[in-house]
Amino acid sequence: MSLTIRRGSSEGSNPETSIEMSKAMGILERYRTWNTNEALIPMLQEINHEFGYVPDVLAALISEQYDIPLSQIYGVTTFYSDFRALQQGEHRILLCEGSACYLCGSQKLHRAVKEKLGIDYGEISPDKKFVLERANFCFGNCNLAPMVEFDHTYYSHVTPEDLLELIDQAAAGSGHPHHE
Amino acid sequence: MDRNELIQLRTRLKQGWQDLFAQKTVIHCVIDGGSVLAGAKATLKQFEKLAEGRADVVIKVVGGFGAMWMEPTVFISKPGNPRILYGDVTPGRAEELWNRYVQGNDPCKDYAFAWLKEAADYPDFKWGGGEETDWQGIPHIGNTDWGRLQQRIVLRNCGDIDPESAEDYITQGGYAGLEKVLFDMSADDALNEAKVSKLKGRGGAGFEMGIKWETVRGVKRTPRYSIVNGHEGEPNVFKDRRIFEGDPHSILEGLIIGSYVCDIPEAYIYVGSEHPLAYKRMGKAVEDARKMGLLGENILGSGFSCDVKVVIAAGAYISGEAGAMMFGIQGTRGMPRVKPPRSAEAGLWGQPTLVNNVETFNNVPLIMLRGGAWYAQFGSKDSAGTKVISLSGPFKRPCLAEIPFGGPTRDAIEIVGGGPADPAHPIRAVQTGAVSGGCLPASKFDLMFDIDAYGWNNKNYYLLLGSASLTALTDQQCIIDAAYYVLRFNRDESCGKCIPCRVGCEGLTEMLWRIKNGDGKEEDIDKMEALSKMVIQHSICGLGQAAPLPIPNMLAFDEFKQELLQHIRAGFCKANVCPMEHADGKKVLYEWGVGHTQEFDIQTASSEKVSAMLPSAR
Repeated sequence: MSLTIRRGSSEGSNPETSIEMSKAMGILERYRTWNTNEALIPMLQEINHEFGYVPDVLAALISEQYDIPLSQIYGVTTFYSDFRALQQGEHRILLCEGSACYLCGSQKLHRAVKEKLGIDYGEISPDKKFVLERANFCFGNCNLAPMVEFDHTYYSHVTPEDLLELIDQAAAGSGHPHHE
Repeated sequence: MDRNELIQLRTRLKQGWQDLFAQKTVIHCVIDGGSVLAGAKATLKQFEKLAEGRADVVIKVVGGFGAMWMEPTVFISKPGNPRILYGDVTPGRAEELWNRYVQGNDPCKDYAFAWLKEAADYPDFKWGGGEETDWQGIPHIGNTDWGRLQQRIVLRNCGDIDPESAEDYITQGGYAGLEKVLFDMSADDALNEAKVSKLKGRGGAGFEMGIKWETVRGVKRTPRYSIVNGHEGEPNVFKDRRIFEGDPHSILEGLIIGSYVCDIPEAYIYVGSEHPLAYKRMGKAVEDARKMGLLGENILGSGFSCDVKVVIAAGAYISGEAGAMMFGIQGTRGMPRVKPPRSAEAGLWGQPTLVNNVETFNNVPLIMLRGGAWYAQFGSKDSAGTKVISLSGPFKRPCLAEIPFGGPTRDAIEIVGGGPADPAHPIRAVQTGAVSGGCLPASKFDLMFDIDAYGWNNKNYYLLLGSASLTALTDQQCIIDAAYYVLRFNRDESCGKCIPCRVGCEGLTEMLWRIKNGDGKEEDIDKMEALSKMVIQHSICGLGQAAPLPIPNMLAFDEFKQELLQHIRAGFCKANVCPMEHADGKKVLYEWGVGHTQEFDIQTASSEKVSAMLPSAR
């Protein structure tokens, strides 16, 4: 694909080579019968779920094949908090900062991760293994605060020790527990 | 399936249901987004393991019952005995219950919360007020504090039926409202019932549903759309997702009735991506209904067609605003637009669109079945019916409950919520309406629980009932911190389209942070007041209009204002929440002042005055 468009802070942090085109094409094919605009967000959601982010090359491909302005795709991917524009770490740590979790110590968790991995919200650890994020919405389980979503699995009443253990386990294990 | 087949199916299923409870021990495990995290799946597995090979025991999954403070919850009903609700059922306790009650005959009254009948057996869905008495020392749910005020119209099936089974819903009288509307009523009759019910929208704005339906019906352009707004992105509200998880078919039925009245063949259900179980169960409900002929072409043989699509949002709080939501469905950035025209005239793809909240639609089947007048008799003069409330924070019983409008707010806080979790820290305020609205101090807890008593009409309080979430604040929580949290959330979630909200929320957040950090100045109060007024008046959507409410709210109540002044003048946060990193100088001055003169009090103190009081030698 020659339609590569670079954006964001590069340093080559967006290696396009690693995506499996056949999977992507499969997703794109599935929405042929849909109304173009209506299909865009579900399509991007599927891509984001599959690859962990929306690769530029796929955004360009959608734009070309579905006749949607690239600006609109870029607008959507940067507006909604579910989408990522850059390649993500293997494991996603999502800390809830709803008011209940906030009061029950989500900041301690934040500090613990920060010390352990040296990353803040929205950052990727240098070994590309972990990404730390803040959930601005609420998981809706305020009686179980503080809550953490780790690789799409929810954990409740998390202490800093629990979280560090989870990180250690994930670092030791291999592969993506992404799609469980 | 046509009408007769549905009626026959319902009769058959009802018989089967009664036989099931008469012959077998039925264990209902509550599986919803919240209970799963408390370990409900382990409990379910434990029961399944124990019941292996036992033909006389049936294990079923039910949706969220609302008793969130004691998840995982389980209902057990043995033939001849009432249905008993147990709380905190860990796998270990599950085994004990199994040995003592299912195998033996001891209902374990220490673990039991209450016994209850099925929703349909309560006239008007009220638990309390009846003449039920204790059963073997276990209270009836209508005699417990949590249950006696509740009237569960919206939540009628939550906890009673398997949300993934259309049959269960039909057994409980499901799709009877749709049936009645399609065959026994004209669309005008149905619209009339909707108007008589005086049901106000439950999403936050409180616009009367009947009037909205009439407007959409009056606009004759095609194509036209209807949408269920189920995007609930704010913290501390969990009513919509629990309704999705507990009773998705009822939402669907309400939606089809609304679409029939307004003659709409295409509908959408918009669910937040944060709630995987909600969209999974809703999607299953739509598929099942389509298979059974309750959706799609020629519904029940009536000639009316309507198809529904479940759309999953992509995660932005603003997508809950009707205008923004429509742009989200259209595959663009979800930003609200200037109104008018209202969405009833120009909504999705610029066409007439009917948008109602999940809870609103959930009321519709019963309104049609029992009549608008039946519904309108509940609640207060201006706000008819009941409201699902989400209680969170340091309550004794954080839960999802449903109470009629019209009582004092105190009831919800002290009876349903059970007061503070720790009696040493009484509740001094509740924050209403999640992140849109200020706090209600303890002195005003008698304010009527009603959309109008709160809300824009009450210019003195700057509160919004909104989605009716009540978050408790005790002396361990700081009012300034709560306001800062709301502003920060709104700043982060502001879509950035209109400048008052984008810049105003940023400014207010910054000023509050300064105050929290001990750098607050007296003139900040006036600045914040003016800025918040500007944002409220000039923002184009509900988010911006509601975001700064905590500021005027804080200034409207004396107890909150005192706390703000304490932060600014004395550099002191009595809840010890604010960092106050730069407040040392203020603290010294304040302490010196208190120590040296009786007249010194925080109401009149200002840093200039304190400086003037200092001896010149200093």
